[in-house]
Amino acid sequence: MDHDLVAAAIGGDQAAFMDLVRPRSNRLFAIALQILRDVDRAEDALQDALVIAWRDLPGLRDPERIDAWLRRLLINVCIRTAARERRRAGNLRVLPIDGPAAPDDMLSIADRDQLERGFRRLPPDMRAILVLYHFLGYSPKEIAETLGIPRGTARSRLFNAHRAMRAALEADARLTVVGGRSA
Amino acid sequence: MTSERDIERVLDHWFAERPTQVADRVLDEVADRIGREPRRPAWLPWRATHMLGNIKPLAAVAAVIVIAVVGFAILRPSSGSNVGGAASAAPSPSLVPSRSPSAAPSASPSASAVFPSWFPTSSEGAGILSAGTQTTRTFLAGSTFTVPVGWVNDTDNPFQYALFPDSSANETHYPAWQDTVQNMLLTSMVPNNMFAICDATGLFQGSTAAEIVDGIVANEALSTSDPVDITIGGLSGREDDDQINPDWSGTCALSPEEPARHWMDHRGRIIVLDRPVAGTIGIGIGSKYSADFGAFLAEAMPVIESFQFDLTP
Repeated sequence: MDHDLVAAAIGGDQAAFMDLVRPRSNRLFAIALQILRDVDRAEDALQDALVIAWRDLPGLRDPERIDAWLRRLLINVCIRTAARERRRAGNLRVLPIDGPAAPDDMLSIADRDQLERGFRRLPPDMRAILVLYHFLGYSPKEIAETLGIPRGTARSRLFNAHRAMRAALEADARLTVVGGRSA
Repeated sequence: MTSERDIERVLDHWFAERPTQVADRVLDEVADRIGREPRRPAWLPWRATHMLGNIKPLAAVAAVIVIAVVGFAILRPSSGSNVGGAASAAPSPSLVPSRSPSAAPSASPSASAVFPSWFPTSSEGAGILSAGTQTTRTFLAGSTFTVPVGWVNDTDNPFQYALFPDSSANETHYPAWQDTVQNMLLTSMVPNNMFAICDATGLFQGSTAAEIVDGIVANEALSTSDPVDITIGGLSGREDDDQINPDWSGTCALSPEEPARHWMDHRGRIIVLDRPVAGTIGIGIGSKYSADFGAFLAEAMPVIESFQFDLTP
């Protein structure tokens, strides 16, 4: 644990704060990228979360929990960001295109495209739950602690997220057939 | 792939770790921003920040004073840039925004951006614009345009530039909708991964303004006006007004929990302009409530028609 860095950062040492977050930044960025599916948005979310972390760090009651605390801040920022993106009332909306996926021996490109579109259709809090469970390997108990919700609620939301993902994939399959091309 | 027993295994595989590395500039900007960000005093324990009742009135008075001082500093006449909340050189009571700007420090990349009090201060963009000529900052279709008092810029990135009026409709509906209900969005290109109105329309097709707008008009998910030719900033293109076809019963492609009927009252205008060499610029003007659309268009179109684009590479 980085007790000294946390203590120094709480005391106002900006260099210590940056030394604290720098080794964690790639992992945090990966989480944001998994939820938001867009590099620019993920970078913005990471920046906002770290600035909030700096502002609120003196209120951190348990320095041992710094990693869980940072992740919780970031995920909340990502959920707010995704919610704002999805509800844009203007006429034009863009489905961002990410870079090519890593080569994979199990999922075809078509499968990945379908998963990508299905995931983007989920409400932001469901996206976050799936990232916590499948990407970070969190248990429902850890999801509950991260999101500040009861354990039973975490379990039911995870179940609903899986169900919604299935529904989104099925809707995507119908759309592809009806529209004659993939979205 | 979507069967009950497979979904968890597929998602485990799909989410499998891929190497990601955050760009140095992202952390550099964090370091810069925290230097400007006030923070909770270190010597105050967490619970002490929940102030006792008899302290709150004093704090409120202090906050009002701070807001007044900050507001005066922001809104007083200035000969500097007129982007980002600074008033134009000609002082006038009409230049004061209709609502008090938030005094909370902005977390946006633009440290000077001031947004309406009801809008998140963490938004990107220049914030409340003063009346007069404005220039985009990072939008790739670099633009100069003219706005009257009361407009706000909340998005300015290479791909998109967005404006909305600081109107009572936007303020009233923001809490429920979590976004503005009247706004306009410009895109520096119209790609084939773009949708209109609740994504019900499917993806845009075509590569020229005529092809794209004609494709929108032909879409059975929409009821549209007849497309008309238009010229803005020397660029020619085509526009039409759109709404969801009342007989269409689909769901929004990106938001299946939102049936299209939630968008039935939405009205919008889509303008697509041809770039001089190749490609297009898109403009969407939207109102979630049809009753407000005509009045909003009357406000928005003069702003749109004032745009001049700098498309030099």
